[in-house]
Amino acid sequence: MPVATLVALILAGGGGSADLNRWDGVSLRRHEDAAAKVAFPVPLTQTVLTARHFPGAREGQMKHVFTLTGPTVEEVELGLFSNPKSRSLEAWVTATLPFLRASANASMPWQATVKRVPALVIEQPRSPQQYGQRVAIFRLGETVVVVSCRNVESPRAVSEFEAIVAGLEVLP
Amino acid sequence: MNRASVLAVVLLTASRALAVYQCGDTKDDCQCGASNPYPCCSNGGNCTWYAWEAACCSWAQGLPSWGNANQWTGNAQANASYAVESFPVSDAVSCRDLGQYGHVAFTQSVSGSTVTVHEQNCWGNYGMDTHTYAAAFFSGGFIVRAGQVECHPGDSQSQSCGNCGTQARGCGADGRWGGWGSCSSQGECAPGSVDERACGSCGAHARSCTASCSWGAFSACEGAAPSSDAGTSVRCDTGVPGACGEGALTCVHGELQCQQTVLPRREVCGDGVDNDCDGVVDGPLSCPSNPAPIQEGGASRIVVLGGCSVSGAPFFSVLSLVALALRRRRVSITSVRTVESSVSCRFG
Repeated sequence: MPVATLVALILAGGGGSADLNRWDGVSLRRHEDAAAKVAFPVPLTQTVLTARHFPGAREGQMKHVFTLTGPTVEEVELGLFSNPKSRSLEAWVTATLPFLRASANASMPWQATVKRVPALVIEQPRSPQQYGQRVAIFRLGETVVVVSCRNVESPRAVSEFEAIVAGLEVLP
Repeated sequence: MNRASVLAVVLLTASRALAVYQCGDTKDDCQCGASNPYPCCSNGGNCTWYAWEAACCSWAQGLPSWGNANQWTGNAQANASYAVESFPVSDAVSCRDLGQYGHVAFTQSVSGSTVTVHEQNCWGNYGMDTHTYAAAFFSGGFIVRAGQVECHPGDSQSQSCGNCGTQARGCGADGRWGGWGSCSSQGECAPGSVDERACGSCGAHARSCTASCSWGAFSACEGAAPSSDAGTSVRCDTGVPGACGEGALTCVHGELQCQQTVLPRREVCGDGVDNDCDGVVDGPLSCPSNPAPIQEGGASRIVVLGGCSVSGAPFFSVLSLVALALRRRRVSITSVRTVESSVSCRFG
């Protein structure tokens, strides 16, 4: 149905007038979340942002979860974990999300947030069961942030992922 | 770029970002706030696509995009919206975290150590299939919504109910408690309750229920004296001669009795009342001026009540009367009633 809608919109839009509601990959707004004490950019249009907070989350569970959903599917997930033992990124991933260490995945260093903190990016290749995913992991004090791009084949998802990883800020 | 090429680019871009609407014979048409984020394999099946769709339909909740099947358990454990149970339950995502990609399915039923699931696969059969596995096959456990599972299937609970009874409930295959069963093995009464019943002709007795829900013993049968409409006692005849015949009804051990209300006293000569209740009005022993009545050819009875007609102890009164009778030789003693210290005499 969305494909048909796009086709109809394009065919009807011969006059050249711009669709202001259309996602352009550039127009962003800054979302601040007081509960999680973070701020990050999200697309200005055509994205549903869902925030879930779990004050009683155990260690190893996300305390705050933000999901960005496009017109049809979930595109990016931002999860905030506590890291009370101040584990290094490598040690934390091994202890908390060991499945990301699968041999088919590739890890690489990255930089994240407006302060350019060290990050670990893990690429999960496409398989018969899933679209390729990209996961950025970095520490902010005693918090570990995990940003997941759910489909690296989706320009929208990749764009949102990169904007969040680069623009995330910690609120005072 | 002409319009056709723009359309082609848009379609290409859009189609890559969109979810697969149908995989095999299953459509992504349940409402759970999201569309299925998984691809569909060329054989018309994919376990991740189907498990996500089944959860969407059953839970009305779109699962996150957790990637390959062997990552679902780990991702679910990190998400407080979900829980991973180590035992099989129905209405759960069954996860196998072994192998290159793993496998997920949606549990329909549980029977002992086997689970029957609906599933798709990226190879082999087309579309959805129903299959029964050993529960251990799903090494990654069973993903449920947080709070969905209350108990371990097969477990049971019991609680007290009613009058010292018990009732039980069992944990179903879906990990939820069934309803409480009927209350059984109850006692005969509720602790603290009282059972009060009438007894005899005018009494009542009661028994209390013990803490173990059995009746205790009845109390003694007692009752209140009946009263007239005016609130006064009900008068009756005691059967005792003279003034002592006057009595009032009382309730003794649950039975009505006529209790004497007038005690014998010294005979008042000439008042026409048998004051000493000896059966003789103004009898000769008390009133010597009145001769003892003599019945022709028959017997006359003299009753002496101790302490009234003869001074001294009743025993000696009786002896005096016996001596008098013997001196006159006109009477013979027929009986001596020591309870009332009386003597009945027959004239000879």
